[in-house]
Amino acid sequence: MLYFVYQELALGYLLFSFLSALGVLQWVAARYRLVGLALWDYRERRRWGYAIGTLLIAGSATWFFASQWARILTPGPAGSELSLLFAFGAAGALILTLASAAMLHEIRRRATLREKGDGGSVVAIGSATTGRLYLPSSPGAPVPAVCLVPGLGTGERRALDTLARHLVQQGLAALVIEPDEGLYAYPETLATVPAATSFLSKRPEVDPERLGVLGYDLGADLVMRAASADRQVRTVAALAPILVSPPADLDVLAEMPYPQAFRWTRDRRRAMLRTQLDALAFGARIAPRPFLLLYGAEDKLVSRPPIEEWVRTRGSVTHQVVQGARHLDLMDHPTTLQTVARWFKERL
Amino acid sequence: MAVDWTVFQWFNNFAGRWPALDTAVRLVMNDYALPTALVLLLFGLWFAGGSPAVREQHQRAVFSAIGSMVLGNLVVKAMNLVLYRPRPFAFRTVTLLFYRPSDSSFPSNAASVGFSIATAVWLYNHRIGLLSYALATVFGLSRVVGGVHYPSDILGGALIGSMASYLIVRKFRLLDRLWTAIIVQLRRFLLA
Repeated sequence: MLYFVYQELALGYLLFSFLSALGVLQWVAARYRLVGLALWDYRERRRWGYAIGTLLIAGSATWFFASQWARILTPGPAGSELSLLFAFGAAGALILTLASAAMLHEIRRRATLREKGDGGSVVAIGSATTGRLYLPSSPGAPVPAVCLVPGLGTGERRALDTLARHLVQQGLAALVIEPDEGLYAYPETLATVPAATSFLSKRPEVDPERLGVLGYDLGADLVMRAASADRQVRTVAALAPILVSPPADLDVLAEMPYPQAFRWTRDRRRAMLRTQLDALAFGARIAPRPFLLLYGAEDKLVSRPPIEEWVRTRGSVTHQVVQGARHLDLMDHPTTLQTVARWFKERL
Repeated sequence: MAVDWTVFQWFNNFAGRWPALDTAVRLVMNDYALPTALVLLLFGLWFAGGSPAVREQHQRAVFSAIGSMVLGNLVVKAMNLVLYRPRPFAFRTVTLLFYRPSDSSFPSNAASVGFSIATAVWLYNHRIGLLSYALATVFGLSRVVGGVHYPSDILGGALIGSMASYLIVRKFRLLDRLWTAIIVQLRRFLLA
């Protein structure tokens, strides 16, 4: 039975539990970069997380003991009652944190979208696919070109546009495939890269002998599969391909907030397409052409050990890791931009 | 018993001398401060770990700590049914910094709770386990300084709590499978 001798004491303890649990969550969010538990973006400012966490714990403890000092030295709630109050407080803190992190993430995402602009010209590639074509301002002779394929449900198309502009600055043409629904219908999607390379090779500004492909996330699985058969492709860059069954645990909260993570791990379309593309088996056929495999060091959406084992058995694959990058912000990372631009500039 | 009383007096002599120390002892000996600190440690431990494997160990520690607390409590309650030891203040003059609990002095339930958590955590993570042991020890000693327990009550409670954790973690293998099953289910909801 629960009696709660002092109602005010019980409510005070509930609030103390709630706030201190909130503080602990901010500590672990900062320590393990769990954006899904963070009330603020601690990735660049980890100390803020520790400071907010400490403030919540110390502040709530000071308030509770100062306001309830006389009562805590008298018989109060039983251990079972305190356990129940703590459980409610901690559960409330967890729910509030997950919801707030999702809301703040959405606000930040919208702000980022406003910062980045589009560019290039919209072009039709084949009958069902469209893309954005970026060309150097006044190329004297036909230039090398790269086809960029986005991921599925990653919302990074604008990051691909940034990468395309960066490639253009290096004197290359870039074609960013639009991530429409048809792109991820199997087997229709297998026609995307051949259609794009065919489109690029017919453009007068592009040198048809110097074509490369780049894919991100499931788009990388797609370009690995496509490049294995398309001999017109001279070089391949796969950025964070999924390749094998991805992890689904608390670590996903290091990449995205809870509601998004929940949907992500239950996206059957992604799982089915990854299996159908079977990029690991087809990727072996890309050799002897240069093949760059790039991952973020903090990528939590990909099972890296089996992929690294696969890379070890294939000497022709260049495997690089971008320090400080996760799966979803790999495309935005300055090192990624530089590495990819250098890769294509030197090999096309 | 004479040794127990002598050691009790040594600790209890610190009480009532300096108001600041009395306040500090009252702050740590109550049912809210250190038990909450230990449970918050468990709460944080659930999410802590640089890899899924390490985190799973921590989550097992959390389950084991909860299981140990329950087992330790049951043992203490069972002992209280057959054994009643009056509190130090019952028949002697002591400096009391707390209210007068009416239940048996031996074994200390507070020590049992503290040490069951600390041992369970220590068996999985020595570093955080040591911190938990420090908190549990301070909690136990403060109850002696405050005049509500004999040192042997604390030792008895600590032994019961530690043994409960050892049994839960090392001997009750069936529970290990139960923890695994719960963790697997929680992973589906990205909570483990």
